[in-house]
Amino acid sequence: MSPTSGATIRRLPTGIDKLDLILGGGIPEFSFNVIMGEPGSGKTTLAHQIIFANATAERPVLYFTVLGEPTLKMLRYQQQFSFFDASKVNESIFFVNLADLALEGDLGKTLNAIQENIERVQPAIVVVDSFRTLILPSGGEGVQEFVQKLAVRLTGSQTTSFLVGEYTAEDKAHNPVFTLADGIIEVSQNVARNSMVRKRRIHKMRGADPQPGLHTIRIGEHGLEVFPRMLRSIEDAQHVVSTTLLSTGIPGLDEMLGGGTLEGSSILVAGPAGAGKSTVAIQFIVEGIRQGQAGVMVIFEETIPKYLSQAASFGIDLQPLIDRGQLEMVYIRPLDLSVDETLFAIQAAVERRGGRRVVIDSLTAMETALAPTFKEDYTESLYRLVGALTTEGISIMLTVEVTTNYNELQFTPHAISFLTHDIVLLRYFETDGRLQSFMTVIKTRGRKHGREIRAYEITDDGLVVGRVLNDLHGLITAVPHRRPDGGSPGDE
Amino acid sequence: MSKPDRVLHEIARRIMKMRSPGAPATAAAAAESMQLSCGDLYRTLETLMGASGLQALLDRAIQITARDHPWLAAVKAGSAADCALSGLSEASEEMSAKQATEGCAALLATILWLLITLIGEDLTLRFVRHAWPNVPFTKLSEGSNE
Repeated sequence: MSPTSGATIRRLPTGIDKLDLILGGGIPEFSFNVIMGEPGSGKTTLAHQIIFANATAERPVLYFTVLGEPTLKMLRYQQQFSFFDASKVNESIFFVNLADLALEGDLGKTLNAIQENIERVQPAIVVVDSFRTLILPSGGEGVQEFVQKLAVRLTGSQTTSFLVGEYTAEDKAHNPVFTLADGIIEVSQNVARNSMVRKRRIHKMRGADPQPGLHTIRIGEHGLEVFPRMLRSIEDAQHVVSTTLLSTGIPGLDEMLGGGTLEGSSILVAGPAGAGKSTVAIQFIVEGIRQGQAGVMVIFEETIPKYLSQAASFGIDLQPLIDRGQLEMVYIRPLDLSVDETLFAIQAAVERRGGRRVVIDSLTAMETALAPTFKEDYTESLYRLVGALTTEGISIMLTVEVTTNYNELQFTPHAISFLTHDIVLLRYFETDGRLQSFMTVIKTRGRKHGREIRAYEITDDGLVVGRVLNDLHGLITAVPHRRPDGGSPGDE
Repeated sequence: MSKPDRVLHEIARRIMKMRSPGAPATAAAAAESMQLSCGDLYRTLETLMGASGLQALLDRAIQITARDHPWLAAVKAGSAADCALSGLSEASEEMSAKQATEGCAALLATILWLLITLIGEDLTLRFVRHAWPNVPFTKLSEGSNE
């Protein structure tokens, strides 16, 4: 060993890939950690995922249970998760109940019991669950000394340790555990209306470089699943702005957009219900597939069969594209969704199909599907979603429903227009006793676009762009007047 | 299984026989064998459940078994660290050897059944194999007709 070589800090996997990513590679070995959160937030499940991911006969785990959930009940519920491997229990994972001892309130005895078990098992990982209830009966007396001695013994025994507890934000300021801890992982749950969302935050992790912020968690059959906020991928990605123009699959629209939409950019199609937004989206995806670019369509409102049926009504059969693996439809409908989960569902589909075009149809329905707590940062979340996809060079089309306001030209119900590179607006107007439609391009990034207002129709062949409506004025009011001069010739 | 089945009863009898090999078929011998088996369980499960957790489990097992073997109602799970079943010897003295053996085996089978209902067969077998390594345990559900 070189005299100048520093300590190598190995990382232990948590059993949750994306949590390892957030932690900057995993839990630093020999660290002294706190897993904090409210009852039911998933602390014990997280601790179990960590121990089952790491326990071997050579590197056993010692799991101290204290007051609170009885051990048998804990095992009863934890074995419902797929990560629970019964063959490790009593072979490489040893549960020790300290409840009776803890009730006596003698922290010295408790410390000795912990030490004796550590000497007996020689564990690589030690968990104390719940640590808060372990020290409660002592009435606070000698807690600091106990925590200090415990930390020293655990680290001296070459163990990576986790103290699990129902700590609050106030505890973080006053409890000595938090001063001594190398790592603090907080699991929180946010209840708004009838939805509940769990989030995780890494407050500190000495020897690692964790991703900041709150990350969404789901607890499912495989235990905790983490959906990191996608900041890192945006920062890390080398976003090369392409100059390649892609066809939207609608010739007239391509012309209005100045030749098409840029590869790796985002385009927003805004309009009222029934205006043809989904038609544009389907044509965009189909055109991509025709050019060899696999597609992913994320839908929230209609089921996949209904959506396919809608596409078939104007002569586009998406089923063969799905069967050939050129298109993947992702239907998301829960009402307590986070944007990060949506993003991971999209990214997973993109990865599976090698997708180059993505459609989200629609942002309106996606917002409805979001948990109330995520609606607060909807715009910021959308920014991350669009950013994460376009930095990968993926072209994305978003549709959004706009409630028509005839006094102004409103693009979207949110301040989301700045998120997208191009915006196309679809609208109705009334003339000659008929409800008709027009479209216009509001903005494009990095190129000139047409400023004309054109009629369009939804035909059996999809959306077809028609003539420039230069014989009408006041279209924005939806009740236009014919220009006395009949408009300029040659604008068809 | 909604109650201890034939297989569990058979396992319980095997355990008791193994704990008192060659003992005469008397009520006292059955009670003694049950006490020893209970001690084995204590040594295996105390670390996992704590003495009070184990006491609660035994009390529940006695309560359930006493429905079919009323003489066991006089037995109490001791709070002492050795998990003694207080009153078992005295209560068994009033019974025939057959009644005492059947009651004790039923009690042990109920303890195992309670563990199975709480933590499942896999984990229960994992623990009881540690308690009685010489008793051949088969997958309980495979031999069950109930």
